[in-house]
Amino acid sequence: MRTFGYFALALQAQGGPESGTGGVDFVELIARSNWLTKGVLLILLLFSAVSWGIILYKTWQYRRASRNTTMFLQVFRKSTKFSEVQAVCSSVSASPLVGIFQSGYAELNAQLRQHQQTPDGPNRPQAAPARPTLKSLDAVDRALLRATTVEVGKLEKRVPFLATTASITPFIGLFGTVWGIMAAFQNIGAQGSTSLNVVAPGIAEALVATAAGLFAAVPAVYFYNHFTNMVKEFAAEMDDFSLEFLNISERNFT
Amino acid sequence: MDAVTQILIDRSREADKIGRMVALSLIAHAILIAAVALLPANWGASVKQDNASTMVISLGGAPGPKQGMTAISPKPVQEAAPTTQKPNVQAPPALAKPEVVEPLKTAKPQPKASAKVEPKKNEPQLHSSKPTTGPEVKQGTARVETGGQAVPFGGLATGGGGAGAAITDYANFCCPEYLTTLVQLVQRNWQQNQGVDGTVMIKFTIQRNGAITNIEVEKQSVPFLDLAAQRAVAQTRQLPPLPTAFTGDQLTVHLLFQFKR
Repeated sequence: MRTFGYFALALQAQGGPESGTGGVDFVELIARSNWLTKGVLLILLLFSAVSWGIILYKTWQYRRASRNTTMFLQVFRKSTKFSEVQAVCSSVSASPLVGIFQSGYAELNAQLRQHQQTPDGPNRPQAAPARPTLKSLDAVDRALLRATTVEVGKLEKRVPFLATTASITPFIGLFGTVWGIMAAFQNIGAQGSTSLNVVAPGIAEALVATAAGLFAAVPAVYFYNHFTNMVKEFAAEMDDFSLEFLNISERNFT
Repeated sequence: MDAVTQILIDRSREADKIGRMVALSLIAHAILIAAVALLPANWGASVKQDNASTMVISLGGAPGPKQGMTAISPKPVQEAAPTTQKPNVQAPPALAKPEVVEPLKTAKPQPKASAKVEPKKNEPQLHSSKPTTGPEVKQGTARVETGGQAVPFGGLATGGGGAGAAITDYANFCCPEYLTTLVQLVQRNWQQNQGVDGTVMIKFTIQRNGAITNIEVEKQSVPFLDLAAQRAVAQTRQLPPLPTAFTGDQLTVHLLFQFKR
């Protein structure tokens, strides 16, 4: 019977100090690359920095908003007068509900003042007002709706930049890579040899750009979805609060 | 202006701290880049370095078609022709066409020899111009055991290539041809046929000039298999100098000998 033998080879380069096998020396790769790759990397760095700035800012803003909302709702449900709630508003102003409440309250005030002024004149003593009635509940509703739009806009502000980052940075990175590979192939042509030593460094340099693009894009995608979802939750909360406010107004002022 | 509008304008104009956050994020990016730059290049790779660079060269696999003797060229070789008793004629037969001749098993007199007598003595002839009374030069086809298949090296291996199929997990060494040579040289000194199954891992270092040093048994098996494997490496002793493309001073190689009955 024939004998079969097996060999296994494991190699270890024990050469100079810089013969690190396996690891990637990014700095060296970037330093060697051409100006276009460097430019692409710089753009990607800016995109990444700005999108992370937005991520940090939005996270901070949403956290503050939801905390203030909880506090505001506690006060709102405990107090019996809108004026009491109005007094608290400045301390929890980060909550989007504060804006809604304030505009609703302003609209109510305007209508009630008008109502007080028109029929009897300003001479009438304030101490004994008749039960005030609203002229139009629809106007209050519209005021609340306007406030909701403004608040949602405030929460959504700059989030689209994350979507932009998520969709274009991979392409920018890809552009850098394609350009780098073009350069690498030109190098092959110039040197007239197809050895791996000629091709590989250029391609490795080029691929750094794609890696950077993905590095910028992935957090942006994640946080874009996260933030959109949170804005949706805030919007639902605001709608709910508007209806609550309308109900209270209708109950008390009509 | 309407009170509601005033409130909405105020609220939408609230201080935006985005600039500060972007600055913070820029600083964080700078720190991250500095960290990547300052870390040693092989950080994270050093842990699994041993396994990552294991290159398995299978000299076995399922037996492929045994190809046996392969004619590599139609170059004439010298073969000792059997001494034949021939009639004592002056002239040998005319120069026959070169033909492929198997080594003769029986001494057979050539009957044609006596048939024609053509004294062509002036014509310079390479062969058979003399009486065939002794060992004689004949034309034949060179037959050399080439070992059959080529050694595909560098990851594109298929099983069952008979002797010489190669499987590589990972090749970060620049010059696979050198390894092929190395394996061939070691294999020449390796007594595979020990009658026992076993696996021995030998580690050794090749110096720049090709000398083999520091032979160690890394993974033991039965002692005599250890010895057989060690002997194979030790007897090889000298390899070709390391290829110039490889920049290191020395190359440490782990060879796995798998003895199979």
